[in-house]
Amino acid sequence: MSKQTISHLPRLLSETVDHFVTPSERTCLANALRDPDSLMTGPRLGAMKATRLSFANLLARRMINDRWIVRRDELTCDVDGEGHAIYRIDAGGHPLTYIARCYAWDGIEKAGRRSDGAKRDMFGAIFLGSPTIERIREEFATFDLRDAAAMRTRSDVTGWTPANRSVRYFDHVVNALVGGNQPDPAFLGSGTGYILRNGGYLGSGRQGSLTIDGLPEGHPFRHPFFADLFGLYMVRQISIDLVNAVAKARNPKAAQLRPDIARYIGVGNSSGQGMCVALQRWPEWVSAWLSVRELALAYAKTKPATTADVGRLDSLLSRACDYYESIELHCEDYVVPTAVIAQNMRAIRQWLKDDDADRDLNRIAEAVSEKFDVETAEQFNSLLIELHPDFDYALAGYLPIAMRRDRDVSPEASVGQIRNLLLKNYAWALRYDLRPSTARQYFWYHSIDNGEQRRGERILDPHEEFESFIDHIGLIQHLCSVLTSYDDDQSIAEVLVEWPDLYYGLARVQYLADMPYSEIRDNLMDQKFIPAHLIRFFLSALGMESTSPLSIRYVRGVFFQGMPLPEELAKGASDDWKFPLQPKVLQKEAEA
Amino acid sequence: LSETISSISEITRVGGWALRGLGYPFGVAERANRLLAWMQAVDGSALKSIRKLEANINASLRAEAVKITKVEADYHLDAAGRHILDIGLPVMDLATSDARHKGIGRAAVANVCGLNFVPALASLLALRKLDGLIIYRAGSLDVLPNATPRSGWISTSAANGLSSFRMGGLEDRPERFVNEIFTRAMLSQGSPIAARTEAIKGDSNSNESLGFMSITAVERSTDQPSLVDPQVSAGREYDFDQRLAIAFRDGFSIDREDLDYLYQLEMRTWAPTSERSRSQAGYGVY
Repeated sequence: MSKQTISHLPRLLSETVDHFVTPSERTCLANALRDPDSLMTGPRLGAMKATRLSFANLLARRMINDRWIVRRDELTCDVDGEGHAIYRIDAGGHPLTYIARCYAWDGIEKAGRRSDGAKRDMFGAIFLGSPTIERIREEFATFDLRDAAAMRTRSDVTGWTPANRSVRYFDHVVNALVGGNQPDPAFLGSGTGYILRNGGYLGSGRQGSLTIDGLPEGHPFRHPFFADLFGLYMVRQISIDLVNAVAKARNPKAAQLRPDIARYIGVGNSSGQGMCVALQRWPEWVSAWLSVRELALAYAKTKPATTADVGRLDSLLSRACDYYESIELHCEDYVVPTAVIAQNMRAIRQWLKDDDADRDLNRIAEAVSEKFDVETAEQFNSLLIELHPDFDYALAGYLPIAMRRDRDVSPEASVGQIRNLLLKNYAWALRYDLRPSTARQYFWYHSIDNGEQRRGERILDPHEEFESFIDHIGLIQHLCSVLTSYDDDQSIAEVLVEWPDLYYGLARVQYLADMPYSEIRDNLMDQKFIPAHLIRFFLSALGMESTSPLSIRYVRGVFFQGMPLPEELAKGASDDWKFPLQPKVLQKEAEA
Repeated sequence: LSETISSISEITRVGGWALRGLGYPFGVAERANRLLAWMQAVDGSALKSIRKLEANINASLRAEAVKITKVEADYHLDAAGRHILDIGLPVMDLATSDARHKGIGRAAVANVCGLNFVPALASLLALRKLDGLIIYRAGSLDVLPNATPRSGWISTSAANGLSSFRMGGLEDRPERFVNEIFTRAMLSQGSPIAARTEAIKGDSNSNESLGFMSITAVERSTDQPSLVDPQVSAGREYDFDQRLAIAFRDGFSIDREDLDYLYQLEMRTWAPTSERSRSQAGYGVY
């Protein structure tokens, strides 16, 4: 299976591999690739951790390498945090402007991303270029409408960044600063380290904002998720600047956040079931992410490790261990506890020390997989990927290309050709038994509550006719059964006239034919399916370090914890910022 | 405000659900969404026309099955009142399939509405790197943008990796169209007399309120003349690619009423809330 997978690698990936390995090494690499049938289940995908190939990490690298400048031009706020801010940004030669409108807290903790409409604690906007003051005022006035239906923007804005306070942590930080002290990093760490939570980026055309294809060639935001994630970086920055400003407004002699504590602050994020639906609708995304990840991993496993590689791996294990020990998850029902992962990381470090001569990382990875739980194994795999940045970054060029597939059908294909593709790539789906009622228990739908994605039970709940597409297995089985009534030499164009709804299935089978790792081998409708697995997978691909499911349908965590601050970016920072150490409380502060 | 700025991504993002709210099944809606966004960005007519035709679209969802016959090399379909969003793309597929296998493909559909979407279909032919000619006659139901003839043609050429489009009317000089617009390439493959006749004069079996469309797709070869000779066609050239690029870059103006309609359609697919529904929301420990 593995050999078959690599023989079908898309051209760009294949060329990248050939640039780095000899033909014999290529065979080893192919053998080390994991079998999609076992890799692409919910629990395995959900155990995967962020890597340097995750989108936040790729964006951070670009910001660091190109020394992006984020300069605060203006920040005014009162003692309650009511105010606004303007930042000017040089994104590697591409000017941007970020504006933020902050509101005094209205006494409501806003937990859900979609559940609060326009009534958020903060609204930001990223402008292309340098808008006039009049245009900025116009955007602030739009935010002040606080009415989702009335709020519209234009194509000079790439997106809005609504955010909400974590009141507990916001107040803790402000009160500490007002008193001339620093906040307690351990307390911040108990909430995974954030002050503001992502309220759901509203860009990529939403509310009239710019469509990604409208950006000029070479603009960093043409990369998938870079605009969204930069918006999050700016939410993190405004959270840091806002607590400093509120503290100053309350007490001119207030302390300001120490840089190491500011750096430890990330931006909170909660995600729900909509992410699973997105993965089902865009399997090319899944394929792009996993193809580069698995190739990078196979390369790291099969490349002979140098002393420096082992030393680097030991250092990463040490940091991961400290990080997992320092954070507290709100709920450990659906995950391997962080303390266990930390303990396992420590044991793996000892293995490396015990047998210093053993540099067969493939063998060690297999041993980790056999001895420990799936999350430990995937965390170890993510650390292995860190060892070969040149190869990783060469692969990363494939991501924006592979994620934009033309999904048109090829109508000239014959029924026989489609049948062959189904047998070759979808045997697992054709053999899946969807007859038990538990296998089709749930349908997923949007609720009138701000369009939130929810689950309903088929035999009980209404609105099944508008279910979200999650049933790829049923789609494939239906397609296959319809095709049995046609001759092999008939064109699928003829099928589409009689079954136009089969377009999506036919196109999917065709355009994914050369994309390994695209289809999730799980049934999302099944009674036992846990959406949190796929939500965690998506968040890890985005670059969330530690994902924490609060329920089977809802996952929390932080982005950009440890990421260099703007002043550090400008001076030149290291891109090795994963797993930040929790800052220590200085003796003087502890006494205070 | 009677107008606002929208974007192609906004229409695409909401459009799939809106088309389901209109009654189309998932696979059809996913596909038609591309036509919807393209047409709204290029001439702003898409949502307005759907709003006008909603009752007809609704009725067409229960229409009898599409009848398909093949006469020599030509496919003939009776859409039984279906909209181009529904039947246009399968018709295009038939023509594409034959073009790719045999060099030329022809398919015609009668009793169809939504012919203002014909340019979007032509754009898909260009994306498929095919030359094409679409002849249409809009029925009385269709609302066409100003200056768009009720009976006309649109050609697309995909030479040198660039697509170009020409459009023209048939109403004022059908004979000239017959004699001049069809070029050697078409005639050498057999003259689609039936299509021309139906487009220009109507067919005895056709419903006046519904229209007709014929698609000819040709696999482009370098030594082949254009399907429509620009010197004699009297049509006008349209740079849809440029319009689309501007729409991507700047967004486009849209009647607030049309945009609201899009969101209203989407919201038809949202389930009413209830205690039971809220218990299935993400937030909270259940």
